[in-house]
Amino acid sequence: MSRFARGLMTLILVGALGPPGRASGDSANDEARLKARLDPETARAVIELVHSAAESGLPTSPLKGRAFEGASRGADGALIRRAVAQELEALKDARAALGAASDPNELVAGAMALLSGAPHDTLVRLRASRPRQSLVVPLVVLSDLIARDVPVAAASSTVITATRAGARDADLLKLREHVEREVGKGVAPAGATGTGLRMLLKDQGKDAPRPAPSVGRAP
Amino acid sequence: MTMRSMNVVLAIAMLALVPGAASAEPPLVLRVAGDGQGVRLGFDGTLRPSWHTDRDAMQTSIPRAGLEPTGAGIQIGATQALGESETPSLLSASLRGRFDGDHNRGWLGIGALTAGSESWHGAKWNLGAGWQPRVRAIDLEFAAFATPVSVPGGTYWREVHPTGGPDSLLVSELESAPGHDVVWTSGQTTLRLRRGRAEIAALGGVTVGPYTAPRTWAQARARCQLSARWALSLIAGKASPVALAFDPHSAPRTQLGVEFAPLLKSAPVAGTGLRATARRFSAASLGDGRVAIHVECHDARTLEVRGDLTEWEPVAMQRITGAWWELVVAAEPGVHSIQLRIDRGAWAAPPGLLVSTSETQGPTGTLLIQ
Repeated sequence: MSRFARGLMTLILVGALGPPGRASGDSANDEARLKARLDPETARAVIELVHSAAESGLPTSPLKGRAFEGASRGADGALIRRAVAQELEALKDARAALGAASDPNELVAGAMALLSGAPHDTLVRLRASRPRQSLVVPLVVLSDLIARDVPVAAASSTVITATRAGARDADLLKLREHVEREVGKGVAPAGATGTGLRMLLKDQGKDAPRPAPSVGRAP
Repeated sequence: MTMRSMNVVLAIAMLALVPGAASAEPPLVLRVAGDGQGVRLGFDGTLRPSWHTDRDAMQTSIPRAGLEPTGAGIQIGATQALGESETPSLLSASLRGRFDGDHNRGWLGIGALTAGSESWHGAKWNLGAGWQPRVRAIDLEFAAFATPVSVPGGTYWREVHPTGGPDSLLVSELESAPGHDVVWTSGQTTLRLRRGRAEIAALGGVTVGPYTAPRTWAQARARCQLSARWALSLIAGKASPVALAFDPHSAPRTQLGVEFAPLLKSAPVAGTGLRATARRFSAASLGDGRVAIHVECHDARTLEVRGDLTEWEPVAMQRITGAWWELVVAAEPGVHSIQLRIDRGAWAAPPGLLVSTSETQGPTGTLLIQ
């Protein structure tokens, strides 16, 4: 089994786990666990944010997850409240960029990309390039590239270009694996992303984008 | 210590069928050590093919007993004498099969050794085996090596039993023999303790065989990782000669050494420059709302997972077979964050997973369950 196949299998698990849900577990139990893990003030603030997300039709699991993460790390209550509030804002921003009909998983992945540093406009353009297909994989690949020190602009343009070219999720994962491998060899992240995109476009039967000619250059 | 009195060992370890993913050997190491018997240069390297018990890890009915083959490695080594030295230049290659079990770990190996000495004709094959019971806090290894030794022609004292039985009177008699090879067998026990960037080890052994009295040795070793690429080692006492040891890193005499690993990007924690590293991560739905997470990690004592699947509480994985660890958790469909910690070290994204990071979050693996 190739590393790519393993990576794909690792990322995407297809199982009979039921339909996607927006919130995990029972609400009362969730609140009890939050109160058990957080100081009273932080728990109250987090629960309010969770209620706010639920009323807005946003996934609540990322908010609770962020609160539990902060508690596990022993973070200060103020920091936890700020992180959960940022998560909620990112979810709202992701829905504004991706559309109200977006799948909850897309919103979670979109919020993840935004918190990684991706611009709002990138999500808008990604949705335009895939109006009906899921954007979960393009968004998590975008977050991955940014986390691997690919400049945000290069990561954004790469994922957008690949998606517009009709790249499938598997192609994007292959691109991301190429970047990981090349960066591991010491290649600059931006360069690795560029070669990965050219390979992807070549496989798609499209010409790689060429650098724009410099101003004043003779034709 | 003058340059002439230095014994310099230069070792280069090359790894790479799985770049950056090997668990035990660094990709490239240079070793320089000095003792009182001349100057030596050398290299050794390791190729560690990435075959493993993938089949087991992807099934839910995973065998949980016995030693199972979990990998193989090729080690290549050479030493070159600089100036006057009693020890000939050596070139060695060995293939080791590795086995892991719940409570034991072991290896079997076969090697070839040749030397740049006039008395050495062609390559000699040697055999080795090691057993490592899992003991908390320390590494314990029992190893045995069988090595052919060239005996030059001459007259030797030989112990014989005149009446033929093993309990009969033992006498010695002079025997004339032509030049030929005999097999010497060595046994060795190693105790190793690692703490942070430091490692101390003690080893002792004995070599027995025809035409030699039993040879015993004992050695103490200390090693400190100075930085990502540099380490300092101090070895006191004597050990088996390199030609008799299965390990080309063997240091036969007291020596002071420096190691350089140019391809390492982060500092190994300790040991022979090595730290346990997760090589593979996989996850499979069990079809009942749970996911079985498997991680391949050699040389680890503990593995823990945390993420939104565990409400960010560290949950210990269970060693199931060989180097594979397992955790079964309830998981709803969606995008999940997950981190892995080895031997209570730093939390990191599991290998092979997509990574995300943010202002308040370190590198975290992204797991999508559909």
